[in-house]
Amino acid sequence: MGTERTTPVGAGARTEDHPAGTATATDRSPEADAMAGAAGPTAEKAPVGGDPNPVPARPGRRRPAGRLRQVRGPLRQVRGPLVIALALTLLGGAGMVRAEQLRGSPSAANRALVDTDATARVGGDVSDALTKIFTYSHENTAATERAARDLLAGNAYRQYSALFSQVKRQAPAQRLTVTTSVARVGVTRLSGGTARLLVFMDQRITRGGGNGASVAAAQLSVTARLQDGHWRIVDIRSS
Amino acid sequence: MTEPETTRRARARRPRRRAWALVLVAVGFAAWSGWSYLRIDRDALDYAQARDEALADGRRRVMELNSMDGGRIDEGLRRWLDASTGLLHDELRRTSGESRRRLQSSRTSAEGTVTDAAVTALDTRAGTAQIIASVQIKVTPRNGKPSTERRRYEAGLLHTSTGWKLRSLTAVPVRGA
Repeated sequence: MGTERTTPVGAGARTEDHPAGTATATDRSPEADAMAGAAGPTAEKAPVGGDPNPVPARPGRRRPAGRLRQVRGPLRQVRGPLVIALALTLLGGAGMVRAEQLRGSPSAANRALVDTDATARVGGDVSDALTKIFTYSHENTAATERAARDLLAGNAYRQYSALFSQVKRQAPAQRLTVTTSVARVGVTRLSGGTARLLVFMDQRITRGGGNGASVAAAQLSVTARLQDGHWRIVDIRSS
Repeated sequence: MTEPETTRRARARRPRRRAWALVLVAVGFAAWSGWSYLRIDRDALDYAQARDEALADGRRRVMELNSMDGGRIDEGLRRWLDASTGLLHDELRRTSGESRRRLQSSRTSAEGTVTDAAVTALDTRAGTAQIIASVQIKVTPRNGKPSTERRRYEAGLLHTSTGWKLRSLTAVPVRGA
């Protein structure tokens, strides 16, 4: 076989592994430049590396480098890019995992105080809501009820309704007036559209039309949800 | 002659091209990953961590300053000093003799539990924070039934080498009278 004469030993071995015609597309050497002259018109379909008739038509164009490259298999020729691609993929994967670790931690997810505007807004909205729903007069319980429908939702609304139905029954007889103000508010958790707050309230309670008011302190743990751009209280617990 | 030669060359180049296309995709992935990593706001992350540490330490310190074992007064007083810093620490040290006498005569025990607390201010650069805390205290006299008290506090915190400590602890008064 002429192959033995013109190609180095390695290439000869390859010829046996991939006989002409059985080699797949990926087996075709990209080093066609080096072999183009040697292939000849009859070797059109044959894989270049496995050309059984590599008689050089124009020997002058065959550089020694071309012969050396011929030695390498097709896999070796794409090995460089593949290694680079693999390294980059691993690097990217590691970066992604680390980023997700940092971003996904409970600390990072909680925007309380980190987002100062949002923290101030939820604190303000919840304080206003609590002030409104816990301030009532025996003369005008309906206004407070209306406010509660706007400012409360879910569990908080149900709890409040139950409580307020008692207030409504007793308030006229006792001539009860309650004025509530917020002494301190702190946001413990703020993530997405949900917030948890601790609120210290002061309540001034007047019975029997003004003579002698008493004061009471109340500490509430409040859960609020952002709905249509404003915060509504969905849960109230004494703490 | 030139036509099949060109086709062959193109065919032969295909695996290489595919490999480099893969590299391009990998570059894109790595760049995207790096960008999303760099986009993380480290300052915000550090701030959020400091907030959570201040709250956790603050809660524990408030609990310690509201607790006393009537049978181990010296240990309790030491814990008070350890929980505090600055002016509060100085004051507790100054009054510790008086506190010891008072506690020894009453032998009252107190067990504080922080039911809820929130950070209301945090300055990581200055190492200061402020928290509010709602506390339930179970007070047990030497010969008597335990009773429960509720207190609400505002506490100033200072960051020290051993974590956040209280430099002030004041009950939030009820207004509106």
